[in-house]
Amino acid sequence: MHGEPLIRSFDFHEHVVRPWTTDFEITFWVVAMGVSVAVACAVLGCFLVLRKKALIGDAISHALLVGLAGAFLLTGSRGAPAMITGAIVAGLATVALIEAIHRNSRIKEDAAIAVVFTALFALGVVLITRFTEGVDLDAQCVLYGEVEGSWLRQDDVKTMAAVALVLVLGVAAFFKELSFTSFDPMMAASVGVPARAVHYSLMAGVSVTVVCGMEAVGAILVVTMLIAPAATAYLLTDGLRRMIVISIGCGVVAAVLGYHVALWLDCSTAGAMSVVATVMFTAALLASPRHGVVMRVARRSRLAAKIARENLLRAIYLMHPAPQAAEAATSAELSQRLRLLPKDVDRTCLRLQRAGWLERVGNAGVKLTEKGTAGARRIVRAHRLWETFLVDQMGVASDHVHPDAEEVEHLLSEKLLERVDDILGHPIQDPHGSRIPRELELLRAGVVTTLARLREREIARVQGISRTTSGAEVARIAALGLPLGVDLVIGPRSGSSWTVRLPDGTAREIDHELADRIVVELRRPQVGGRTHGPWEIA
Amino acid sequence: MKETIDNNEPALEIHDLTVAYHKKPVLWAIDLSIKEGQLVGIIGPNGAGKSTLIKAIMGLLPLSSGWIKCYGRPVGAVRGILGYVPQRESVDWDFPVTAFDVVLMGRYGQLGPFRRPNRKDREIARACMEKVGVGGLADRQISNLSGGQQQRVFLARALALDSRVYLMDEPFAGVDAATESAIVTLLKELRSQGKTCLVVHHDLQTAAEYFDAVMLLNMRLVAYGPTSEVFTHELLQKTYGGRLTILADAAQAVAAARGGN
Amino acid sequence: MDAIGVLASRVSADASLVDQIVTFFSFGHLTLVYGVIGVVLMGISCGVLGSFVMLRGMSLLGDSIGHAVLPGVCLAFVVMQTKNVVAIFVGAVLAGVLAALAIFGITRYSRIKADAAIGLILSGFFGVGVVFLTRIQRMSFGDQSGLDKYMFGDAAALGRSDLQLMAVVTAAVLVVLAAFFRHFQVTTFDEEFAASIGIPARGVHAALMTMLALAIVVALQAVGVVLVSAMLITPAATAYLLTNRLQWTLAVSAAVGVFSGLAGLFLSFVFDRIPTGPCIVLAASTCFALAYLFSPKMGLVPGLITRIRNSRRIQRENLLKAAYGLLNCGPPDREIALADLARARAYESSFVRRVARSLRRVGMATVTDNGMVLSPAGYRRAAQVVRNHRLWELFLTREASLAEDHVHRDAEEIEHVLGEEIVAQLERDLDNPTLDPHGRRIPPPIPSVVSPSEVSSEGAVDAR
Repeated sequence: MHGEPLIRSFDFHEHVVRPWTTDFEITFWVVAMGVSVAVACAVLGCFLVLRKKALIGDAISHALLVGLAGAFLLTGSRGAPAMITGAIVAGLATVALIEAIHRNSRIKEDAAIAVVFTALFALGVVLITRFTEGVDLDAQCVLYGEVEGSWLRQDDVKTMAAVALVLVLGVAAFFKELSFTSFDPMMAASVGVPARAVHYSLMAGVSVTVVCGMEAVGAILVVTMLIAPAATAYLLTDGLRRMIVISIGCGVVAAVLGYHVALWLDCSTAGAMSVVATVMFTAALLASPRHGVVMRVARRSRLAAKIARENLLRAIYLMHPAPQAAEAATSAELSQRLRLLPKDVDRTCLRLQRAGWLERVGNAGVKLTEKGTAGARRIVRAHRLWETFLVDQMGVASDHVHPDAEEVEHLLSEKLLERVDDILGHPIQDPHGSRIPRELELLRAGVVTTLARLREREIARVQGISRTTSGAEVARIAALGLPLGVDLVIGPRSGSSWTVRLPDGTAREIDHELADRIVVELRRPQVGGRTHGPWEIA
Repeated sequence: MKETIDNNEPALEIHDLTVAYHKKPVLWAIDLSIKEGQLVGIIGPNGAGKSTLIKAIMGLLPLSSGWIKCYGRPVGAVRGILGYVPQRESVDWDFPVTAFDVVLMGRYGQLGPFRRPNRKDREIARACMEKVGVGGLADRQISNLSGGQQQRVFLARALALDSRVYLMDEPFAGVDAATESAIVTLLKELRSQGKTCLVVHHDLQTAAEYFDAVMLLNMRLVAYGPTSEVFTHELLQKTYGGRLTILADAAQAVAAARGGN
Repeated sequence: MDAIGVLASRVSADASLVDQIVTFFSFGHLTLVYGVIGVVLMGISCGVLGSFVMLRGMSLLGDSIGHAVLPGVCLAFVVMQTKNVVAIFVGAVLAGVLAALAIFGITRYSRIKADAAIGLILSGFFGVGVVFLTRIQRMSFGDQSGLDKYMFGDAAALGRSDLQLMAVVTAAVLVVLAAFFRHFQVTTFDEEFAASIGIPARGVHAALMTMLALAIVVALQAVGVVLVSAMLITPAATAYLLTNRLQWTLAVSAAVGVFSGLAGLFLSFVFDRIPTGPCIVLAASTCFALAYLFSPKMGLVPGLITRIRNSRRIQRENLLKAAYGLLNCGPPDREIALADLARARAYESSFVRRVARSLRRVGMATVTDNGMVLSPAGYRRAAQVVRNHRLWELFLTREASLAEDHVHRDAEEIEHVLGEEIVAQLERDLDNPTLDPHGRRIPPPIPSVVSPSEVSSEGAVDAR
């Protein structure tokens, strides 16, 4: 065995403080390099990820090797201008070759990418190992860099920082073109935005970034910086500008943290930065509030709990529907009705109690509070409306609807339910003959609503007409001759017509459209229907 | 490996079929019973779930609810009886196979894992190609075929399956007039042999003449019955008309709540 | 310096190229023999499997998994303290399978698309691997000499146990593919249809991914982590451009793989500083480039040649048409002045002369100082072209209801490419007409066969 453990112990002073105090000089330049690379890669990477061209970035970063080797062999210089030119040429050549292959033959794009970049990379390695003796252009180094402070040239850092700045400014200046062509390239081309120019500029940008960052993070690890921060941002936000900002942030954090991790573990700095970026992505994948896996699972279990609660409320309501019911629902009854274990029932009841939906009645069981009643009615209403919709509008056989509606009723928003109610003509009964409850707020004297929502034997006063009434409808309403401010009795619904009885004994038939437009004040709500037992609520 | 079937049962029976795609319900509570020996067209707008229905019947998609029976037996138990003709665009036509190779694939289902196609299988494949009029194209690589020829090759493959119930997804899409009438002739011949065909079709005009019965589908079954009865203006309005945005919105709400995409 | 470099320099410090070639092929050295066996095995297994990978659109997935095995290799190294073939194999396969599952998981359960997922796993796993690798290098423990071979490969460093493993994997892959060829073929071509006839598509996919991981590990030693995907894809892509049936694709792919391996090994031996990986890949890429350019049915150059030939033929036939028109039903062997022809078609006289000479070369005319005389074959072909043109015009006006003044240009193109069958069909459809839309006579069909060269060039019109 040897002395050193694989993973050294973490020494805060040695690995975090010292770099920024004693070794500040070195640390500053290395971190500056990492940050510059991260910024440049982040802005480019967002567009690569959105355009689904992440792997062309990977291909270019490999193929650059042949550009560098070629530039060196032709010019004999290792200086920045030669390297950058070689890189751009190689990058554009890669893209051009890939397109030439997959547009002119049956080879698909992914295979074309694989063939081209490996060929160019192999050629690059051959040129370097064969012809570049004594020059610090080492193939392995190219892969993952060697950014030990002592070897890093300050000029390289300044170049990289300049490149990052240019890219940021470029993206800001051409943001419209970039976002348009990323989202809808055909439409963009059709209005004259030069999509090809944008594409090749992006690829050229990738080439320049990779070659300048080569010393710091090496070719393959630039790929991480191109993709991981952008992908992380993609999981955290839905807006493009925010995505770019967040990805820059992630990249910078990865660069700084990575440096410290590399000091701690004594390994390749580039590798550490890459690992940190990947870990950040994994964290976002799991924990992103919108799209993360953990959140999705949590949402599903919250949904299941919600459904359990609402089913319980509904069960109690249907057992004892009257608002001032004397009897309470026992655990045993509920457990049998819902086909759940008593202890699950008790647990849910406890939660509902705490939230104020239920109240306990001694040892007899539980009763709905007013809040509970309102909630239960809402669920019953949603369920019955949805069933009616399925049968009426969709022709689903009425014996099929029950299980389906069982789930959907919990997920429909109030607005959606209103639309369903309207489409169905404000129905009173569901396919099984049960009455469809209305919202409790409707059932108070003095409430202002539309005529269409009222039911038989209710008493209301006409106040006026809704603002969305068309001219023709106004004329038709006027022709009805309904008196204002006088108590009118609502008669039974016949088909899709509302009947209204005037004080002078005459009656008016009003169709759905008009009934939706007539605004009334409810004077005496009807509580207590006819169909299923004395306490079925209207 | 032909399973014994009871000819008195309906060729296809579907009960309360609901299918969700990425947690979003796309087919709601379909009920259907199809007698054997019929040519049935499946008509509906884009996104109505027509292809989904076919794939669900074939067992390629999981069901959220309901069941499907073929001649009274569950679909999984009667593999050789159902024959599937997928959409032409689902396949990469640059694949290195000849037209004959594709048709021969229709015999693969009959063979076990280790058996190879024998002479009889090859003869059957050749006969099927002759029947649809592509006998001379046997050695051509499939990218060298026209759209109509490709469709015919697919049909030859289906014939080689020798099924009793065929499910075809848009066989008439993008084919020339001659191929279209050849396909119709083939379908009618299959019918005269007592086979049943369910065909997803996009053209309302020809649907009225090609099919005995028609299924109007738009996320749910609007109507099913003999063409003359079902192909009415009113029912077509209902199928293609817009009242279903609510359904789509509800489906979206369900998908979001279940944590789907 | 790697093993093959050491070997090469040991063989002879300044031997000539010829000597080195002789040495190579005499198979005197065991390391070289092992290297040869290794690349042959690799060529076969990767070539065959890579064909399916490419056809399923999984090329870059293979690349990603290739990079992703690095941490597995390093971990095996750390655990065993030295290069242990079985441990490295296990570590690599585990890492590969893990990577494949991660890519699948990310794509399926999040909004991240496939390309980004592949790139993330590729660089993420590779980054972890690099952290391991550099750490190990700095710790200077154990026997590291095997480890950095995994970057770019060193086929000549293959030992006996390596070869045994490679042989087992290659044999297993071949047996599975042979036994289940139909399954792989149908699921790759038409997955839904395959599922509908009862073939377990998911099982096939899982088997393929497992074999992929194994094949990658086989290739690892010879070409290294970075270039593994080249061994899967480049020979397969080459075969794809040369074959039209899957069985042949597999065979040619394996052949190209083996050839590349041997050629690469040889190059690496001769140029003693270059690792084997890049040499092998360069050999394979050269094969691909050759296929891309010269494949008889699909290559760029044959396509170009066909296009040029066709355009020359069309020029000849246009001149024949003009000649026919000038003869105006008179004796077919009358001399036609080149100047008249130039005027009739508004050509330069030098152009007319050139095309006339071309006609002479194919035996359709004889050329004098100022004129041209059609041979019997030339006259027949001229009549045929004119006939096609006028039939097609008639068809367009009658059946397609195009106006008479619109049809000429279309017919100018079509007249050259109508095959006999189509012409016969046209005649049937049009009831054997005698006059075209402009009232000109349609030349009657000439029963005798035109010269074979013309027939074949007519039939071989580029369908692309």
